[in-house]
Amino acid sequence: MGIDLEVALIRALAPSDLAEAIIGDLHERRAALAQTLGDSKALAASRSDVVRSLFSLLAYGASRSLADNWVFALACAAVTCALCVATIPLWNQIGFGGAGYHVLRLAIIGLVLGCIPRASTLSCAFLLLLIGAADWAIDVHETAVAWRVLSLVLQDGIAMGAMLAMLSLVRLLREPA
Amino acid sequence: MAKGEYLGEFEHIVLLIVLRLGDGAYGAMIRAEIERVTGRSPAIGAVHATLERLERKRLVSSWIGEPTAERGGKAKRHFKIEAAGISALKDARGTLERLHAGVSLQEATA
Repeated sequence: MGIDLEVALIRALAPSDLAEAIIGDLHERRAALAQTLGDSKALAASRSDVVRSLFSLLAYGASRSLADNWVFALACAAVTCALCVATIPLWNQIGFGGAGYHVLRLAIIGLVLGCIPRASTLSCAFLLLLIGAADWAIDVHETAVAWRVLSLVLQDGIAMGAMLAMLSLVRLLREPA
Repeated sequence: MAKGEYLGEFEHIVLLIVLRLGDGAYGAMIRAEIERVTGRSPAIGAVHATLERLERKRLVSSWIGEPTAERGGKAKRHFKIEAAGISALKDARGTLERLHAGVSLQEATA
């Protein structure tokens, strides 16, 4: 159970090629430590190793994703944002213009972008920036509007983030141990 | 490595350790050697992230070995230093030597 949790965490955070090598090294070290320190201390050391690895893996994953995919992700976000802005009058006309429907649309967008391997999280982040800029450009530049734009972006971010987290969880559960 | 691009401190350490260990070094072995030589105990994730970064800079190359039972059926990822890696280490040493030249490291006495 212990090692499964570590494996799941590493797989969730590290790029797949990197994750397998790290998991193998964790197994090897844990087996070596178990011979000298016993199982429980080896498990604790292994867990501590995983926790200390989290920041490095997150930072590396983000920088690699940015370096590899930013043009594609930005293009996906730009097209999505253009579609969002262009269809605003349409949603109002057919009675789906409310805040609830807006959150639902953003959640669906998060789900779709999350399923595109090279877009995913980075596209959602770019999309939030573009939505914020579009909201800012559409509204008057006043302090009150700035707070409203921020709260809208936060709301959109939560809707998309929830879908991305759900997708990660589904992938994690489907991944063979 | 591009002109004006420097090795980070941990990159420098990892690259030197890969050179010390020779062809075939892998993550757990590199981490153990860092711990033995420097007394630092880096997280395995930090070691692998750094190795990946070095590989993307073409300073090291890697290949996948055979899966073994002691690693839970996972294969080792072996590394070796490339000519560009040796060159980066020479540059780093040259820079450090120039920085140290003419500087006294003795503490000033009151």
